[in-house]
Order: sequence, then structure tokens, then C-alpha cells
Amino acid sequence: MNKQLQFIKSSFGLCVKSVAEFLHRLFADARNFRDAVTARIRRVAIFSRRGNSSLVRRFQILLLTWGVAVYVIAVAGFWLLSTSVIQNTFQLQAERWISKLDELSIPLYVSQDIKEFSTIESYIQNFSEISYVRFYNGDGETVLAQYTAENVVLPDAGGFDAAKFIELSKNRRRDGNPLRSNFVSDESLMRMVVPVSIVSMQADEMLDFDMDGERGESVAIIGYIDLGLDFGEYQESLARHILSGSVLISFIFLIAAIVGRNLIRNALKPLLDLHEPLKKLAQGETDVWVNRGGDEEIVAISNALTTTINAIKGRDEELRRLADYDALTGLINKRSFDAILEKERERVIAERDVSALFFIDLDQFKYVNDTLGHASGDRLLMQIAELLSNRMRSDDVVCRLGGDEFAVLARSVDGDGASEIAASIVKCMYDFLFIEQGKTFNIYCSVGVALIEDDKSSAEEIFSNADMACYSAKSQGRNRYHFYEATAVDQDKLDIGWSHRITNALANDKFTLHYQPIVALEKNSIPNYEVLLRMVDDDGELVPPNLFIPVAERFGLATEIDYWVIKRAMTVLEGLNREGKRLRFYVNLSGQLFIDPEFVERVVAMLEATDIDANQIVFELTERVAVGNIHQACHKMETLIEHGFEFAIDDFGSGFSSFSYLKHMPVKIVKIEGEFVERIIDDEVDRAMVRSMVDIAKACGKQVVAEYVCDEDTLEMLKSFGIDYAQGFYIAEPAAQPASFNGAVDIPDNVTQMKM
Amino acid sequence: MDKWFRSVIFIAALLLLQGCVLTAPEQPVEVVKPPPVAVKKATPAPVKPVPVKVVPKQINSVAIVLSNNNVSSSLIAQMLQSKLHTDSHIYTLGATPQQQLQTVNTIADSEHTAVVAIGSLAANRVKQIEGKQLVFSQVFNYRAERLLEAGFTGVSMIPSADVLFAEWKKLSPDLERIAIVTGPENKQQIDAIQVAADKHQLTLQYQEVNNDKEMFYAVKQLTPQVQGFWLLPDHRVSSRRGIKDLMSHSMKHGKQLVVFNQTLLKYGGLIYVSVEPDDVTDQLLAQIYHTSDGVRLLNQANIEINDRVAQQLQLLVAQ
Repeated sequence: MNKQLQFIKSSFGLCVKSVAEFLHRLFADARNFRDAVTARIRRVAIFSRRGNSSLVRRFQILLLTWGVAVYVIAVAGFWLLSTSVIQNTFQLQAERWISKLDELSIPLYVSQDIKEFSTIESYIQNFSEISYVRFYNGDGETVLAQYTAENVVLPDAGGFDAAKFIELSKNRRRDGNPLRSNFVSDESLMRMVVPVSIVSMQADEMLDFDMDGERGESVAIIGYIDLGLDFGEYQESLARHILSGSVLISFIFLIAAIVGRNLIRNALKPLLDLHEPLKKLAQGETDVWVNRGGDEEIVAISNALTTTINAIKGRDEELRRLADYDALTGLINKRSFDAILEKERERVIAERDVSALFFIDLDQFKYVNDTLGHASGDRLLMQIAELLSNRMRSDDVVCRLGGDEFAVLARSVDGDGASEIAASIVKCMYDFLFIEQGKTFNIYCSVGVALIEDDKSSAEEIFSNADMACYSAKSQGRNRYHFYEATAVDQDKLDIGWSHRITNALANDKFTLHYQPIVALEKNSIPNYEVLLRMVDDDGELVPPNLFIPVAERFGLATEIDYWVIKRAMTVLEGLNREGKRLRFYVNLSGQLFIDPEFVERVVAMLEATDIDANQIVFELTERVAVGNIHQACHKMETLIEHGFEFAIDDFGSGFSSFSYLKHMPVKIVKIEGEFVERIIDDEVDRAMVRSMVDIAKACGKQVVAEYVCDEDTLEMLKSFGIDYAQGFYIAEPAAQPASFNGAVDIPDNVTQMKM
Repeated sequence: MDKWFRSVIFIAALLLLQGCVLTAPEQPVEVVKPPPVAVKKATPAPVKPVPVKVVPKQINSVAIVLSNNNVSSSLIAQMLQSKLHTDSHIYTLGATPQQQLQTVNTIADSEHTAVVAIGSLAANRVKQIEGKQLVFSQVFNYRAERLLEAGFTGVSMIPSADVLFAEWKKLSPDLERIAIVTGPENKQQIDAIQVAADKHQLTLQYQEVNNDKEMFYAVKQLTPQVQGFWLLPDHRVSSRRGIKDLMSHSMKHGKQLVVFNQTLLKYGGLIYVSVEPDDVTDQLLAQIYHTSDGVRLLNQANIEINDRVAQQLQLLVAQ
């Protein structure tokens, strides 16, 4: 019994170890196989996430691959299961056959006569699964009889341990279970060896033995049955069925692939429909229609896409509108107008037609803007735009060029028609009243007209011609139109050139100051100088102000020039102050500066930015400027005077203004018009006028400066009149530096000479 | 004449004495019946005189040797001891061969002049004892075990076939063909059974076999030819598995089975037949005191009928 237990234990241990090793190898092989398959699969483009294959094809191949994988796994499982079932069935069947053969073999073993084998043989032949049967004698070596099926190679006799069976028969209870070998399977052949045993009881136990007991029986082995079963036929049949099933399933897969492709296409159709719109979107097109059908996820995507497209379209249109139209008035802008003008020019040339371009500049816009503010200015522009749009025909084009400038393209209009249109625009504007903040304003305009009638001028030149014509209209007194004439344009072109040079000089600091002394006739007065502006041209030559100031005023550049002069004058004074040279500069201001709303603030800011006293600056403004807008001018002068600045009336007497203005104007100094001064020796009337002006100024408490003092007699006469300061070439010519008087700050050299 | 007359008178007296003993046997020991099987005990067969052909011997002391302490052997031993006119002692062989040898040596060295071995093992162990009268009982294969050649006389283990067949015929009047399968060398006992079969107009088919498988095979072969089998306690051809298969096969085929072991009734036995201990002891006394050649047959039998099987076989069951 102990040996039996040890045998069972050792067999069990070996089995467990073998199974463990087998499973270890199996799992290792499975891991390697999985890694290899995964690597190979990833190399296939259809499984690569980086691939650009069709979504439908990817789905289809994934489904097919999955289906094939499932089928292979199912077939493998079915094969293993079926083989196991076949083996188990064979095992059970073999035990029944063995039991029957055990019974049938008794005569054979008793008689030892081979003739008794015929019964067994006829029985065995009924079962094709039995490959062979051998009947051994009790020694386990001598074959008593054997049966071999057709086409079966009989294995060698023996091959089993008869002694072990004998040992088992002695120790093991013979309880009805046959002593047999384990089933040994080799491919499709299964072998089982069973001993033929006989049992006898003890004689003295016969009368009262227990049927369920085991005592008193002895076992003897009289032979062995070696049974070989071949289940290859079943395996072949199984393989044939699997093969035929595989063919059928392959066919089903093929049909499923075709049907599945269509199903996937239909299922993904809403998604696939997005491909073309997305492609167009990627190419920058926004005129894309997106189908909103399909499943809710696709609908959500379509909605999002449609919303995005609409947003892009809206922004695109807004950008286009901003690019092509004026945001304030809604009229097309200069960029679009240029394109329209070019097309119109081409059309005119092609059709031998004539059209007209009108360049419109408002005359009072700046005044309205400065007086009432930008908001009012904007409202004026909008009303003007509406006025022009209503006035013009539907196929005409109205454009806002910027600021207070408009342009109108009138199609198929000859010279007479253009004149009528220009006149109507001027009249229309003349009749227009701008009412804002309870005030009424007359708005006038200047109109330049240029015809589009041949291919000699480009669109740009035509536009420039209209611009120059408008300039001419302005020059001629505004509130009028002017036809472009090629022969009269040279001066205009020259002025335009000057405007560019002025702009360039401001940008590149190409202005400079010269200083002309204003001599006090009383001693102990600080030196006074009038600062005079000069422009340095490209050759380094100084350009006198009479050449560029009128142009600057015409093109609205005078204001910036004034600020430049004020700032430079303060900087120079600051430098002189540091050197201990305290001077006072007379600075000329243009009329435009007084309508600049930022005038006071900017000047005060400049003063605060430099280390000078405000009374070192005397602003000169002409009688025309001061009287032209006396209320506004007085208000700003008073503000600046409060900061310490002083004001002087320049060219007093030239405008023949009422003297009463002088009485109320907050100026401290009066500079008498030089043309009167230079003729007082020879002209009795001028002498009387100067004397009167000096008397009146003195009566008003003003100091008097006499300009254009060109000789000693004039100076002596002016002294006799009681003037306070004298200025002119006799005293000193303008110089580049105030220090050119050899350090004689209080009395320049030439003055000293004069007094000598 | 006088001598002849005295002899006749002595024999007649002995016969009378024997007849008295047989006609008034001691109450047989009750055998515990298995509860699940309903059995009916048959009426014992009428007593018949036992022929005695030898001259009585002088017996001083008798050793009764048991193979084991099973119920039937012990009962026979005790009953025999009570009937003996001389001293006697009951021995039981031990479980180990050493104990058995010691017991045999003790008997051999004792004053016993006769040794009665009850059981096969006991008979074979005392076979070596010399100078004492040897009698066996409850040994089926005494021929195969060469007991007679060893100087034994004995009593058959097979109950009276005559009584059995009489009861069997009562139970199954249509019974005509029966079969017995045993191991070899049982011709004498089978012949005696054959005589009884003939008496009851039964055709007995007998077949010798060598092992349990042959036994079953033979039963299957004989099944179509007979209505019933009488299983005899031949241990050489009996195994539990074989007996189960055999009985199962017989039941399936509606065969009537007479069994030698009461336990087998619940496995499908129709009739359980066993020896009558009183009969056995009488035959032993006859062998002890009046040595005869060979083996004495039994005249009686205890019979139990399995009502359930009888009903299943649709046999008439006598109340």
C-alpha cells in the first residue's frame, strides 16, 4: 500500500510539474506571439493611427479581422474541446470494450486454443475504431492472440510493465474497477493495457461473507489485453467539417464584408458627407454647405461646423466690409473706390464713354469738429454722406476718402454734365444747414472735377487731377467747383511737393531757428529776440519761411510747425538759462494754432517740461488772426497769460482793424506794421499813422515795438514818438545763435555801434 | 448362532439408538435472518437412517478444531461436543500461521484420539497430525484438498439435495432444468445431487469451471438452457464481483437461484439452503465412532425462501 501511495504521489508530482512547465512555456510563447503579432499589426497601414486610410475601410478591416480572430479562436477551442470529448468518449468506450474482451477472452485463456479467438475477432471487427488488440499470457510477453485492423501498423509487442500490474493486483483491492494502464495517446492512437485477472475467495468465508467487504479474496493475473484505438478518423472527420465550415463562414464573411461595407457607409454617411465641406474649409473656402442629417453625434458635429462656418462667414464679411467700407458713414472707402475707379476707367476706354470724378472737400468741417467736438463732426460727416448718396444716381459711386474729403464717381457723364453735377453738389451743400447743439452752421465745400475720357491717364492720375482741381477751388475762395486743367496745374503740383517736404522736415527735424534782436530803448531790460523759422533743404540750404509757411497753412501743417518752434525756443532758453544768459524770445503763432483745441494744454505741458519762466516767451499773433476770432483768441491768450506768458500783436495796422479791439485784447506789446515804419522819413501820412498808433497803444497801456528800422533817422524819429523797442536790419540782422553778439547780451554789438 | 444373534441384537440396538437420536434432534440454533429479505423456512425433510458399515471404535477424547469462530462452525462444534460420549475440547486456529501451528502441535501432543476439523483451514492444518482419527466437516473441496488421501473421513458440506429439490419443486412446480457450476473434482458430490435430481425429475446440467470469470461465462452460456442455478460454495471459482454479476445476470433473465449464503438473498437469491447442524453433528458422530470410508452425506437441509424474489418471478409461495 505504501509503495502504491508513493507511486501515486510521485506520478501526481510529475504530472503537476509537467503541467506547470507546459503552462509556463505556453504563456511565454503566447506573450512572444502576442508581441510579434502586435508589432506586425501596427506595421499594417490600416491599423496605424498615423495612416490616412478611409474610415469605412478601417472599420471594415477591423471588423473582419476581429471576426476572423474570433472564428480562429472558436475553431481552435472547438478543436481542442472536440478532441478532448473524443478522447474521453473513446476512453469510456474503451473501458466497455475492455470489459467485454475480458469476458470473451476467458475461453481463450482457459483453453489456450487460438480457435477461441474467432469469437473475439468477430466481435472486434464490429468496431472500426479498434486499431489492434493483443492478448498476452500471464508473463506479459507471450502473445496469445492478436487482432490488427486493416492498414494499421502494429506496434511492437510488450512495452508495459507486467510486474507492476502483478504488484498492484496483490495490494490493491479488486473492487470491480479493472486494473489498467493510463491511457497513452500518440497523435490519433490511444493505447490501454488491462490485465486479465481472476479472483477467488477463501473457503471458510463462503458461508458468511459480506458482499460489500474485501476480505478473503485473492487476485491472480492470467493474461493482459492490449487495446489500441485509432480516433484519427474522427479527427479527420472533424477537420473536414471545420474546413467545410470555414469555407462556408468565409463565404459568409465575404457577404458580410460587402453588406457590412454598405452598412458602414450608410451608417457613416453623415460623417463622410462632412469630408468634402471640411476639405473646402481647409482650402479656405467658406461658401460651404453642411448636411445636418444623421445621428445625434453627427448632428452635433454638423451644427458646430455650420456655426463655425457662419461665424467665419460673418467675420469674413465684417472684415470685407471694414476693408471696403467706411465704418462711420457706410460709404465705400478709398481702397474700394480705387478698384471701382480702375474698372470704370477700363470700361470708359472700352466703350469710348466719358465719366467724371468729383473730389469734395468740406470747408468748415474742422471748425465744427473743433468747436462742437468729434461726435458732432462725425454726425456732420454722416449727414453729408447721406446728402451725397441721395443726390447721386443709383449707379454712381459715393466714397469717403477720409477726414472731410469725399469722392463721387458719376458714370457716363460728359463735361457739361459734370459741371452740372459739380454745381449741384456745391449748391446742395450751400443749402444744407447743420444744426447741432442749438446752433446752425453753413457747410460749404470745394469740388474738384476730373473727366475720365481716354487712356492717357491712369486711375491714380485721374484721382490726383481731381484732388488738384479741388485744391484750386479752395485756393480760389472755396464754396465752388473747379475743373481740372492740365496747363494750370504746375503751381498746384509745386505746392503739393512743398507739403511733402514740410512733412518730411517735421519728421526729420529739418527746421532751425534764427534770432533777430529786439532792442529796448531803455536800459536794464533783458535782451529780446524774435525767433525766425528756417527750413533746411536736402542740399543744406536754408529755405525762407515765405516759401513754405503758406503751403503749410494750406495743407494744415502750420499748427505742427508752431508747436515745433515753441518747443525748440523753450529748449534754447533753458540752455541759455543754465549758462546764466537770461533772454526773452518772441515766437510767431499761426492762426490755425488758435483753433487747435489742444493749444493751451500742449504749450503749458512744454513749459512744465523745461526750466524757464513763462515770461521769457512772448507769443506774436497777427492782427488778422487776433481779430478774426477775437473771443476764442482772447480766451486762450488769457489762459496762457495766467501761466505767465505774454502776447504781442504783430503787424499792427496792416488790417485796419478797429482800435477798440486793442483796448480789450490782453496783449502787452504792439508791433507796428513794418511797412509804415520804414517810410516814416519820407511819407508824412505813414509818419502820422505810426505816431497815432504809438499814441493809441501807449494810451492803452501797451508797449510798442517798431519793426523794419533800417537807418538811424528812422530810429531817432521813432524814439521821439516814444516807442519802447526797435527791431530791424539797422539794429541787427537775424543770426543763427542769440550768442552771436559776442556775449553782449544786454546790448548787442551792432546796437552799441548804432549808439555810437 | 448365539454370537450371530448377539451381534444382530447389538446392531439393532445401535440403529434404534441412532434412530432415536435422529428422530429427536436437539433444537437447532436459530440463524439470524437478514431483515430486508422476507424468507420462508421450509419444513425439514423426513429423517432417514444413516448407513453404518464399520465397527465402532474406542474413542478416549476428541479435539474439535475450528478454522474460525463463525456462527455456523461454532454451533456445530458446540452441538458435537454435547453429543460426544467422551471428553472433548474445542480449539480455534489463530489468525497467524504460528498460532495455527502451535494449536496443531498442542493437539498432536494431547491425549485426543480423534480430531474433528470444522472448516477447510482447520482440516488442512490438522492434516499433518499422525496417530489420531481425523474427521473433517464444512469442507467443500475435500477432493481437491486431498483430505481423503490424508486419512480423513468427513461429512459433506452440501445440504440434502433431496430436501432442497422437494421444496424447490413445491415453490416452482414447473421446474425441470437446473444447472450447477463448480470448480473441478466435485464429481462425487454432483453425482449425489444428480440422484436427487433424478428423483425429482429434474434435469441437472453440471459444468466445471476454473475461475470466477469462467464461472460467470458458464452461467451466461447455460442461462438459455435452464430455469435455475444452484450455487455451491466453491471458493475457487467464486468472487464477490463474479457472484454479483452472475446473480444480476440471472435475475435479468428470470432465473431461479439457490444460494449457499443467506446474504445473497438480497442480491436476488430465491432460496437459501444451509446445513442442519444437528444433521451435521450426527453424521460426525457416525464418522467418529463408526469409521467409514469417505464422506457421509447430509440428510437434512434448512431452507429459506425469498418471498420478494418469488413474487417477482411469479412463483407460488407456500404459506
